[in-house]
Amino acid sequence: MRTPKRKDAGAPLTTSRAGSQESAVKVLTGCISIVVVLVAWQVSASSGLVDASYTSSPLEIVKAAAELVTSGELAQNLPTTLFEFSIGYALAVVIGVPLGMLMGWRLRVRQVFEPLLYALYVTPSLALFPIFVLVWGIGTTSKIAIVFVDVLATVVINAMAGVQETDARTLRMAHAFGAGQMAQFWKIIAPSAMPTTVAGLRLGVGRGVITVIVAELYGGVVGLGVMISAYGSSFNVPPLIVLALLAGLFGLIVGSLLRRIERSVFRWE
Amino acid sequence: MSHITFDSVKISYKTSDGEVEAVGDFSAEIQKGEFIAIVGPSGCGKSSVLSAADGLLKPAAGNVYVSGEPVTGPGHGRAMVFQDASLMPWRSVESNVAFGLELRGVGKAERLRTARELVKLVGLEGRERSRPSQLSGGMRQRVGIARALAVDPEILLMDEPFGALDAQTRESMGMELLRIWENDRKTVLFVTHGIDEAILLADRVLVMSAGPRSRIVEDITIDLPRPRTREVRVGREFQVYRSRLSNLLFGEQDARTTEPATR
Amino acid sequence: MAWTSVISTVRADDQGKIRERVYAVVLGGGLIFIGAVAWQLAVMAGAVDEFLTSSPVLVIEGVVKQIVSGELLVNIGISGLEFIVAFAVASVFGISLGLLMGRLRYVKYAIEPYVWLLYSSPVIALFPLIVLIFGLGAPSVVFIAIMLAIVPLIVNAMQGVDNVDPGLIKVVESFGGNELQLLRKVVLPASFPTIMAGVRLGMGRAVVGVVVGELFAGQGGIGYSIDKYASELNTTQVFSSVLIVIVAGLVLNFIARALERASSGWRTDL
Repeated sequence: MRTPKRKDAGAPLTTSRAGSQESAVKVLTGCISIVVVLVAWQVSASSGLVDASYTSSPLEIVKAAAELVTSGELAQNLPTTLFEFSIGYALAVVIGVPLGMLMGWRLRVRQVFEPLLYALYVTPSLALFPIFVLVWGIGTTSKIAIVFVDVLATVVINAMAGVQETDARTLRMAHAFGAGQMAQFWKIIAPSAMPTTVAGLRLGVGRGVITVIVAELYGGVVGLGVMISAYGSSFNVPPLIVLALLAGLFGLIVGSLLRRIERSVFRWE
Repeated sequence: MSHITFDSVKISYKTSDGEVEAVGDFSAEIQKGEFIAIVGPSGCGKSSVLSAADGLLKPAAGNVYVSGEPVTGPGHGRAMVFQDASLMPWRSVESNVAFGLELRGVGKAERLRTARELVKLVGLEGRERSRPSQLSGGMRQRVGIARALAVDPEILLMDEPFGALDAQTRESMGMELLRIWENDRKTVLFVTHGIDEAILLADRVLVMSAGPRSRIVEDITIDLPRPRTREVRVGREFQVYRSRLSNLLFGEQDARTTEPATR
Repeated sequence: MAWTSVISTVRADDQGKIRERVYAVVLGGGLIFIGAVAWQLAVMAGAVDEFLTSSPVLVIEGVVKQIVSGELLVNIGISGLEFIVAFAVASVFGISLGLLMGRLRYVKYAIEPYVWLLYSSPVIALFPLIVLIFGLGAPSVVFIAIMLAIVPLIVNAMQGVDNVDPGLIKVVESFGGNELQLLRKVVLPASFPTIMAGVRLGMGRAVVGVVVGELFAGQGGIGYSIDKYASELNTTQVFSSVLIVIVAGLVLNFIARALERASSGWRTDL
């Protein structure tokens, strides 16, 4: 991103909003907007302006959330979903990061795997899920596999891009100082590829969470998606929205947490 | 009646520590056809004064009058040349030059004809179809000047137009500007931090104090014959103006070292 | 032009490029080819059950069957129409909203939270509700695809506007241009590359929306076929349909990239 040039005193127009003040305005406006929407939603539902059996209402949603927690239903299903996600995600990271870096570093390796990964990247991986179900059934394994496939492409492509963005001059410098291939990789290429690689890991979290839930929704035994499917087929809307929001908020929070960590760790970027 | 009147113009802006009054009390009368340079230490708000004259910026107090009318917004009689040229990278040279006319609804054929004339006037004939990225810094600024002249303004406002150029290009651009200006002697407000440039170009130099609450500390009439050439610089009078301005801006002791002499 | 003259004009560095291209095709295609051959051999040797795993030959036959029977054409017609409608609606709304958010910061701050929530939420999870409102079939699929595609369109348009050189905005103001002229002559052309990158991403997500939407709420189309064949345990046709999705994804991505590249030349005309 480019920062606008600020010189001398065209300034009154551009520096009039100080940074901290501006971010306070941002948070405040966002909060007001959320409160307004929630109130409008509640009022329109309880006044019968819209059919609350479709749209539910914020209070009903809170009630449903409390019920899901106290009944222990959430505690029963959440661990399975988290387990499927974590294993699939971890596998994708463990295989994807080295593979991606190797692909970025070595042209021939890239040429071998690129078409396959590219195809994987541009196709909706969930289209493969029915195949996984045919092979592994509707249990945990097929979910792990689909999360793995979905996250893998994102992780590999970012790790590869990170390596390819390595500054060629830095590499020449290292070479001039007598660094061998391995030293070049560990001391220059891998560190300079880290920011992009980690950004890929962050994107992978968001995609993986959505994928595991949608996969469970398609066919599963235990898990958040299975709950969603059950409430959906009985058109019990409030818990449906609770669960969808829960998944969204999880992705949002983990995503912004990782982004914050990225910012503090890779401050030189 | 004077062409431009600054009547006790105050300019302030908000920062995280509250409101800062950048320009305190700026008053000046500028006659039609005058070439005025405004100099001052960086951060004194000289560019803000220019923005106020264009109507881009509303003064916190006071008024700017053009031909007796208060300025309420950008108007047809004025055109601005920006510090970094601010050209549209996706447009060709002639299309950039025609931009002001385009905004004012002038037909395509007519505005392109005007644009080509001006491209020629600023010495870029043959580069009509080039993109700004293919031009040097000096050439880009020529395009910026041509764009301002294309709308045939009565007043030309120039915001450190040559500030980003190297010394040599800067001087030749100055001479070029004088050549163009001699054609019809528009009223020019020229903001700069270069003392030599100000003396070389202007009829009068307004010297501003350092901010905040900056004001005009001196209004120096440059009584050098026109048309001016580079040779003016070696004359004794030039050196007198020069040391006077240096004293005003940097204080006595620094006068000899602040700006390299003509080579 | 005679072939010989073509060859004779090939210079040394072009030869290097050609060699690299050959490598890319041979190595990349090689992996896929070896995989397919191993799969076929395993089936022929009886190492895996053909009914469960199908085989490359059967999958290709399946694709041919879909072409001959006209099923492919019908499916592409349905999915294609859903894609076009969803993508068009998402583009118009997403880009307009993004531009508005980029120009008015209060609008941006008020709407941004919902955009990010939409981005990280599994929209499909609400499919029972969506079907209840829009009915089973194309309208629901289109809605799901819009919700998926609209996010990058909004975000990129917004960022595009954010990154417009403030100097250019000042130029328009100084020459007395109005907001519409500012939009048409500076904001749109300056943010065009970013918007087009959003269009490419939006296209990708619209494809996901259509295929996955059909999987859950469709009454026709390629995604629906996958689901139908899977429930019939027809492995071969599932693979054939997935292969078609992959090819469609590649083609659309190619188009999107070409569009993005070509668009850099259109900015002047805006």
